[in-house]
This record gives sequence, C-alpha cells and structure tokens, in this order.
Amino acid sequence: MATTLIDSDYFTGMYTSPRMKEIFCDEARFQAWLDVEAALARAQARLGIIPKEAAAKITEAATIDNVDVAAMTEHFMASGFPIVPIVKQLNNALDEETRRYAHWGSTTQDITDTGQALMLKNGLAYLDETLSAVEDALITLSEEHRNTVMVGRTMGNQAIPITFGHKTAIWLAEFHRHRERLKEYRPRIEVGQIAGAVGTNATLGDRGLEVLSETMKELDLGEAPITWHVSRDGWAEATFLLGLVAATCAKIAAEISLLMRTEIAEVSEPYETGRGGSSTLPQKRNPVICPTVVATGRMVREKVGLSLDCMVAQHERDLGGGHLEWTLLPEAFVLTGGALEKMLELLQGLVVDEARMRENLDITNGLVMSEAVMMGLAPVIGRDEAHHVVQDACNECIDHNRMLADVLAEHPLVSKNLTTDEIAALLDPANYLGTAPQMVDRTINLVRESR
Amino acid sequence: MMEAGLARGQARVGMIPQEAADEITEAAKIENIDTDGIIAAYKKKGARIVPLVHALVGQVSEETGRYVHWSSTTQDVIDTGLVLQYRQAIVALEDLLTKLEDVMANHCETHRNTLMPGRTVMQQASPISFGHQVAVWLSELNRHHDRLDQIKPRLMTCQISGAVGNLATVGDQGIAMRKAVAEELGLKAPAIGWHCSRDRWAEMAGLLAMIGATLAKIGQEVSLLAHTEIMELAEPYVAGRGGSSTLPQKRNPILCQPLIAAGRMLRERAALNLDAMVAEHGRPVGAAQIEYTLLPEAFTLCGGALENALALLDGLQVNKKRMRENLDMAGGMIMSEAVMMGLAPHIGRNEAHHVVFDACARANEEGLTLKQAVMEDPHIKGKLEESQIDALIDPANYLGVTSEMIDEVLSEVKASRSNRAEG
Repeated sequence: MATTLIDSDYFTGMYTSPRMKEIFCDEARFQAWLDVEAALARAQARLGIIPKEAAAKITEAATIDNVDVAAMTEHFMASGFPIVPIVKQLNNALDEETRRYAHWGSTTQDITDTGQALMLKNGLAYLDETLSAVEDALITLSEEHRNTVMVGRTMGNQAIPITFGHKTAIWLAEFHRHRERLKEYRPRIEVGQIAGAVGTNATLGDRGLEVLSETMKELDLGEAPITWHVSRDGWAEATFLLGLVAATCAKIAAEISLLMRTEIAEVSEPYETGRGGSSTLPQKRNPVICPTVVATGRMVREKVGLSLDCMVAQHERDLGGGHLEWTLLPEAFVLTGGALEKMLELLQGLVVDEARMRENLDITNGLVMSEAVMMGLAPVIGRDEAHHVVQDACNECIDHNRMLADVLAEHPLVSKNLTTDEIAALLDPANYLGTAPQMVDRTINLVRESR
Repeated sequence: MMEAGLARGQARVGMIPQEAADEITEAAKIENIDTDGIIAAYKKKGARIVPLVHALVGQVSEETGRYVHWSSTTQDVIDTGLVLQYRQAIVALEDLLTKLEDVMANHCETHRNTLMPGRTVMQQASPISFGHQVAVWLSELNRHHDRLDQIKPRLMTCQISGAVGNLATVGDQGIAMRKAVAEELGLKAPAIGWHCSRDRWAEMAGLLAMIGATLAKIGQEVSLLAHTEIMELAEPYVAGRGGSSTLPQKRNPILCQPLIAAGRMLRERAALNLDAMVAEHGRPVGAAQIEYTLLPEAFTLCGGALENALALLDGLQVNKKRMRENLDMAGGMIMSEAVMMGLAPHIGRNEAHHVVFDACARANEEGLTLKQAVMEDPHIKGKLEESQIDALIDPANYLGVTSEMIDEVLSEVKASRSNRAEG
C-alpha cells in the first residue's frame, strides 16, 4: 500500500533518512503523545492538583505497548480527532480511580503540539549532527584541493581560474551559517504548550502557568510566555530552515552534475560497477545521487510555502492548519535528512580529476587569463584603456583561433610595456588565484573556532 | 556609493592614490549620472554595471578614470549596492515593528479583561479576553523582531569578491582591501565570496514572508470577527469608506484585504528566493536576476502590510457589548467545560465529561440553558449548589491565567527591546 517516495520500500532509500524516519514514525508519535500525558500528570501531582499515586500509575501505563493501534485507528476514524482515542487507550490500562485524572484539564492540541515538539527536538539534534559531518567532509575536500586550479565559470562561460577547494569552502561557509541558524532557531522551535481549549488554561484555575512550567521541565522543552495554538511561526521557521538546507544541498548536487557532464568531466560521483548505468546506453555513468538531491530541494521548497500558509490561522484554533503541520514537518525532516546523508556520501566519495581541470583551463587558448593581463597593464596605461586593448586582443583570438600570448606579443602597446616573460607569468593560472587559498583557510578556521 | 566606498577602501590599503579616491567619491552622485544614457547603453550591451562605470569615468579626470571600478565585477557592485539599500529598508522595518508592537501593547492593557468567546475549528469553545488574543499576536511579532536582529549581521555583509570570487585582480591584497572597503561602507566583510551562496538573502525573504503571514492572519481574524453576524470588531470607519458600489448598507473591510493578499504574495517570494539559492558555478544564469526584483518587492510589500496593520489596529473598533452578547447566545453552553471541571473533583474527569456532554445534548434538544439542564441532571444534583453552578457558568471566572500571560508577553517585549538595544 506504500505510495509515496517516503513510504515506498523501493524508493525510500534514495530519498529519505532512516534515522529521521525513526524519529517521526507513527510509533514515535504515539509514544510522544503518551510522554506528554505522563509528564502532565507528574507535573500536576507535584503541584498537588492530582494525587501522586495517580501520576505514578499514569506514567507506568503511558507506553506504546499498552496501545491497541488497530482499535485506536478505528476510534480515530469515528471521532475524527486524534487524541481522544489515545486517551481512551491510556484509560484502558488504568484502574477506575486513576482514570479520573488522565488528560486532566488538557486539550487535543496541547498534546499534538507538545508531542510533535518532542519529535522536532530529536529531528533538529540529528540535523545538527549530520550538518557537522557534512562540514567535516567539506573541510577535508577544501584542504585537499586548496590549490587545485580549475576554471571558474560565470553565466555558463569560462571566466578566470579558481581552486576547487575555494568552491567547496563556499559550500562549507554556507552550511556553517545553517548550523549557526539552527542554534539560534532551536529555542523558538523546541517549545511545548499546555494551554487548554482556547489557550487560557481555564480548567486549571490560577495554576495554569505552574502546570505549564512543570510539564515543560519534565519534557525538557521550552515554554512560551503565551499560548501559540494559532501562532505557528516557530514551526514555519523550522520548515524554512529545512528549506534553506535542502536548497544548499540541491545547489551542490546541481553543480556536481554540471561538472560531471561528458564535455567537462572534472568531478564525478563515487562509482561502483553497475551504478548509474543506462537501461540502454552501455557507455553511460549517470549521476545517481545528484538527481535525487535536486528533486528533494524542490520538494522541501514547497513545504515552506505550505508552512507559511499554516501561520494564517483563525480564531483560537485553526481549521485544517494543524493537519497540514502533522504531515509537512515530518516530511520535510525526513527528506532533508535524506538529502544531507546523500550529500555526505557524495562528498566523501567524490572523484576529482585534477588533470582534466587543468586541460579545461587551457581550451580557450589563454583567453581565461585576459583579466590578469588587463590588470598587469592597468598600472601602466589605466584600467579602462587596458580593458580596451585586451578586449581587442581577445576578439582577434576568437575570430582567428589564435593563442592570446601570440596576439599580445604582437600588440605594440603591450610589447612596449611588458616582456615576453612577464606576459607568460600573467598568463599562468596559478599566479592568478588572488586570495582564494587564504579564504579557504579563513573559512575552515571559522568553522573550527565555532566548535 | 559602492564604487566610492570601493575606491576609498583601496586608497586606504595603498592600492590606488588617495586623490583618485577623493575625486571618485566626489563624482559618485546620482545627479552626475545621465540616466537616459546609461539605460540606452544597458539595452545595447546587456551588462548592468558597465554603463554606470563608463558614466562615472566620464565625470572624473583621465588620470583618476584609470582607477574607477578597480578590480571589481558587476555582481560585487549590484550585491553590495542592494545590501546598502536593505540596510535602510531594515531601519524602516524596525520602526514599523516597534510602532505596531506599541499599538498591540495598548490593546492588551485596555482589553485585558474584555470577555469574548474563544473559537476553535470555527466553533465557539470557551471564553477568552480580547487582550489575550492580541497578546498572542504581539508575542509572535516580537519574535519576528528578534529574528530580524539575528539576521541583520548576516545580511549586512558586502560582496567584494571579483569575477569568480578569488579577488585575483589584486593579488595578495584582496582580503585587506575587502576589509577596508567593508569598513568604508559600514558593512561586514565575508570570510569568502557569496556570488553563488545566496542563503543570507533567502533568509531575509523568509522572514519577510513570516511577517507577512502574521499580518495576513491578523487581517483574516479581524475580517472574520467583523462578519455581519459576529460584529465584535470593525475596521476604523470614516464616512464613505468601504462602501459597496451597489449595497448602501455595507461597510466592507478595506485594510484586511490587502493584508491577506500581501501575505500570499510574500509567501511566493520566499519560495522563489529558495530557487535563487540553487546557483551554479561562479555565477548563475538567471538566479540573480530573480533576486534583484523579488527582495525589493518583498521589502516594499511587507512595509506596506505593516503600515496597513498599524492603521487597522490603531483605529480598531472593539465592540465589547457585542462580544458579551455572543458569549451568552447559546444559553451559557460555552461554559460546559467549566461545569465539567467543577464536577470532576467529585466524580472524576472522564465521568464528568460524560455527564456534562449528556446535559449539553439535552439542553440542545429541549431548548434549555446550560444552567437549567445541569440543575435538573440527576448525576449532578446534590453534588453542586446553585450558587456554585452560577459561579461556574460565569465566564469572568473562567479566564485561567490570561492576565498573567498578558503580563509575561508585555515584559518579554520589554526584555527583547533592552537586549536589542544592548546589541
């Protein structure tokens, strides 16, 4: 009966994170609801609102083993609300006296929101761990290729040289900012609520805030100063963070697949026999990881819009918004976790062809070094004039398929001001890396220092 | 401004002569630029900054002209220029957020105990106060203000990176030059170029969309509560405003509608900016062009929505009498949970839920008030006195910790403000 990329036994391994699936699976959700009920009872017992024995028995009974999932599902189909059935299951495991105190003064959304907050907390912890592993892989690549010269491309055209380590350090800096964001956002996301039907905690008289505080202490979650039943910005922020992370993954995957093109072939995915084979073309080694990550970026992007929709909630409880959040957030976590795990596999096994990078740098007969020559001439004849001179030389090379070094040597303004050796030095890509390697160092230091 | 800051920064590290930097700074003013001329040149060449650089070179001496746009690239100028504009936009945004927070805080105080029905899944549920509803909005808005404060240092980052991000034109002086230029412009220097690393701007678009969504929610809520049958709130009214083109009786919501629409428009821009993040190589084909329009649009729309929200809430008409009437309309049924909780200590919560549930069903069928149904119920008789029942069904006794939560929000706003002021 599995129908989606997330559920399908066939597809799921390519798109999702097994660990994230554990964190967000049905069983984890039911257990999280029960954990909230038990924490609520213990908090109320500590405050003398319900008897201590009742709280102990509720805690003892609040385990997934006591839940008859089939019966609960049937009850849900009839009741249409998700918490009434699990409270009934919990009550079935309690004696008549204790039953009086289960779910005391609470409301459905308190349990679903706080339960999901527990899952989000686990999801964010794992996200942080995975981001850290991706950073490590990028540190390794950036250090190894700090000085690996390749051509930089802008607007799809060869521009001037960079190093491959410079490119990966840009990715590293971006992931590092995501971790910084994660740290900043977490206190707003890992927040539960005990607020009652319309958020005033009226069932608990003047004890509402104490119950809230004690329950959150039990669950190790934060508390908001006021109800957030219809204030969904924390979760929209969580979805948005996942959208950012997935977009970074998608960019890297798109970049690698572009650099993997037959005509470019500077990097390739880790290869094993049979992997990425075409169903008909025997020669092909298609990218396998990149397409799934690019697709995931787009899927998570859509969840961001949906999560912003959920923020537009009416009155004291929204019609339908909660339902969307029960599905979109776990999906976004499971997919983004999958993209990050794939990214890790890709970066750890990435094949970098340094020789090919160098060859591609030379295919324009030296044209990619034209800016360097211009800047070599600029101190002598001014930047604007130097730009004109070198642009003319480039046009001559393109029109007549000539080497830039030869054309420049013939130009009177150039030969008058620069020797052949000076021209050759200006045309050497390794001399025109600016501060690229130092920027790699700075980025790696930044990441290391923040740990 | 960006070209002038670049020249001054370069002069400071000895890369170009100080006199050249001074002359460029003097010349780099919009009134010196022939706008029609650069538009014509842009149409012809398709490059966005080249015409401006030529125009600037035309305004300075031949000697100084040699140093204009030294070692720079188009995207450095566009990105950094926009960041300078965003800086001003953020000042305006902060000002509007603060004003709106103040207006909300006033409502919280004024309507701390203004009773109204709380509604869940569109049904009357249990009483709240209007001040509580506004405090929920205020808490959300205050978090956005905190978010803005966290995002600012990331967003206020300049882009001085050169054609493919390695600052190769200036040899080993790149990092020192970038730092000096950043200081001239009052921006942060990045650890590494971000031509193809657009997360900072995507984050800003995300925040603008979140603010838009909060305001859309408020616009939607006010319009729902302004429905003819509910009429608890109304937009500020001046004669003739919101009139229908045909129905003379109507006072349509005017401010709520653009708030809801702006929320949706901003939502789309957040997603669009995530697309722009997926940028290839050293500079993407097409992605940057999306950003140059979407973020200024998003700032403008969000600023407009904040101004509309300010006008809406500043002049909001709150009909306390009508709120109370609506609270009482169902024969006190809205107080059923209170009765249940009053009964729970005697017979347990679950049993109390059954008993009151049955009493409500009977009240509905037989047209009784909640009090009548409860007084007659054999399970309740003897457990609760009439005076106890009267106290239980008085909504004013059933606001829980509303007032304390309002105070917590108000002090949170104050604490956030002093944190932000301390930086």
